[in-house]
Amino acid sequence: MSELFAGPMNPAFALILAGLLMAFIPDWRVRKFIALAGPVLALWLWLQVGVFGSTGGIHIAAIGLDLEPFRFDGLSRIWALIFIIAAFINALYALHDHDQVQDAMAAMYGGAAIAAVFAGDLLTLFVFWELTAITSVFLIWRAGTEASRQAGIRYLVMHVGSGILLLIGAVLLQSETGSWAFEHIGLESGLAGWLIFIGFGIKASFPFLHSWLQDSYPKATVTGTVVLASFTTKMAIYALARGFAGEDILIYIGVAMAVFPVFFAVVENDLRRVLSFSLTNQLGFMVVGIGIGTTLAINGTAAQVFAHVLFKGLLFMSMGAVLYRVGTTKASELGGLFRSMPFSALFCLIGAGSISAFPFLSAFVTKALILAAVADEGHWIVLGLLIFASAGVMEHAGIKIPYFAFFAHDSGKRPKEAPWNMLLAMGIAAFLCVFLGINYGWLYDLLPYPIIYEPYTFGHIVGQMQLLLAAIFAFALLLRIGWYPSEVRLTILDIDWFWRKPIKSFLLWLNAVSDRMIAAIQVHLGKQIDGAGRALASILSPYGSVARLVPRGVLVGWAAAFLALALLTVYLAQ
Amino acid sequence: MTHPKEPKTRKPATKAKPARKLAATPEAKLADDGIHPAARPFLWLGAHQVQRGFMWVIGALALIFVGTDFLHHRYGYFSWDGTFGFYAWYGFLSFAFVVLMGWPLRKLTSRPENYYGDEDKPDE
Repeated sequence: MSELFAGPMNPAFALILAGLLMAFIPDWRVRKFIALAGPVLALWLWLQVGVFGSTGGIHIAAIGLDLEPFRFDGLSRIWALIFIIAAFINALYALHDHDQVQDAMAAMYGGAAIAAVFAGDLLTLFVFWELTAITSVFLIWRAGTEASRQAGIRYLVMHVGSGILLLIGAVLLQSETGSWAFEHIGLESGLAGWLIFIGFGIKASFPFLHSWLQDSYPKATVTGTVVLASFTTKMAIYALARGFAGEDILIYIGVAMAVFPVFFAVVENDLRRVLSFSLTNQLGFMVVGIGIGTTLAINGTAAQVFAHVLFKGLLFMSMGAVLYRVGTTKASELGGLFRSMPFSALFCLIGAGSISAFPFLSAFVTKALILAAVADEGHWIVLGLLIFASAGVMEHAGIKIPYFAFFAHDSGKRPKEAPWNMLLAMGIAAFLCVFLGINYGWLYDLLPYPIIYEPYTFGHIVGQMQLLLAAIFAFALLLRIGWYPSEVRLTILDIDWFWRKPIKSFLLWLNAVSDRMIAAIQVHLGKQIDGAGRALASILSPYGSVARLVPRGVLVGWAAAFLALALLTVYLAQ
Repeated sequence: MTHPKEPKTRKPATKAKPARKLAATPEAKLADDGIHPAARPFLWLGAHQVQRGFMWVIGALALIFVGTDFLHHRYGYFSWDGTFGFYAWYGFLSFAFVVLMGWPLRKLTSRPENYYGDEDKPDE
């Protein structure tokens, strides 16, 4: 074990440790200090590791197992950096919220995501893959509504399932190749490859596997949604880029992901749900980049992830501020909030401009890398569909979010401006959106491969401005003539309902089986877990914040935690 | 949440109305209390005429960027996206298509708000 401390320390440990500490510290002032110090320490550790291309790290040769828990290379380091920055911004955003469970879980969740990105072998990846699921679900449950409780359980089933697919795939792969190493896997490796691919695909919200995202994120807490939107899906994008770069099928999956959510985002009333659809749309661009698989495309995906965590976080933060002050993010209940929340409105507009790829804002540079890579490979239909999807982004994220919340007709609501810590967190993210849009060379230096690409050409600026302005004009025109579907309080069924007919029975069957599986776990483990759960709860929180969660239904959470604990024991004992 | 939320709106009674120059204008009267000081210079954004005029300003800007295609050839990735005004008409039609598809989509997929029966109920 001595070699554990010989090399550079894994930045993930700083956050996981911070989370563990916070679980035992009742004083919120101390906790908040740790919440902010954790990411700072992680950044310091990240800076200690070395320069581009360094593979310096520790290597544990356990009995018969070659594990590489810390692989710091061109691909992993940019993901780790943006996760660390996000962890800091998120902690700042949650500074006013004294929820001990969320403090602890958010830090551990961020740490687990970083550890997964650094995993050089599939077993380490699996352990932290599951840890992200188990920690993040509390950010949904802490909203404390019946809807969030149920959505949390569905979320957990999907995500623990994703990990199990990954584990089975990894075991099969190891039996074929004799190695646990997490390198390029590819679908040509047969069943093992496909299982891992689907496991990754669940977390990346592939079409038909996506609904957990739009189901759970809008039901999480004010701060929880912001944290959730930072890590899980981008971790999955990393895993796909590492294991499946250049798989043609990803191009088509990615295009589908970029296109279908734009239709749903138009009719959705809950603006946090609109942003969840927008998240899948953005992931689609990244998945296309991975499918193209050239160095330019992978660079584009990495750059898009970096920019996306910031602008998507910014948009979720601004809607979180609205939710915190008004109590709802339903578009039909909002409007005109810029009068009393001008800074939130401004930051929201910067986020909206960034995601829509206005010149001098981040996505103008990053999305162009992916589109250029698509064009370089001659995929003209794909390019046409991605430009179409870009107009869709302008619709739901660029216009709908800021317009219906902060402008439109005056709802008469005059909530207070967001707390200073929320504004500061949004301000930092907004600054970085502008900074990256102008000083893109800074981002280029972080990319996995050397890059020469000039985003600010005449053609690119003029073409993009034509697209965006014509789209905004279309919005204003359709609104004026009354053809824009007005915001009304409705539940929009998800795509699995819309497309489902041929596979509906299959889904219902799957649902029934998973329900029974949970019930079986509850029956068999219920008694033991109940006792242990209560004991743990009283240890974890002297104020009983966990204890309040435990009594009903949340047994599933403990079952999953125990499953993970058992797996971790097996993993370490091998 | 252990932390209590801030009151949703300011109580007008507790806050002495500052004697502002704007107080006489209709906009200021419309939004009397709860206006953030930083938002006061921008209240005109909420005016009806401004929101109506916005469309023409954007339309004019779009035309200017289409017009630049006259002055200087814009190279696209392929032959078709470098053609005159391509991104403008493509953007307009894409946007309109997405929005108009919202009507049939809503017809097909919308249900009452409490369709799943779990809206806004506290978890006990």
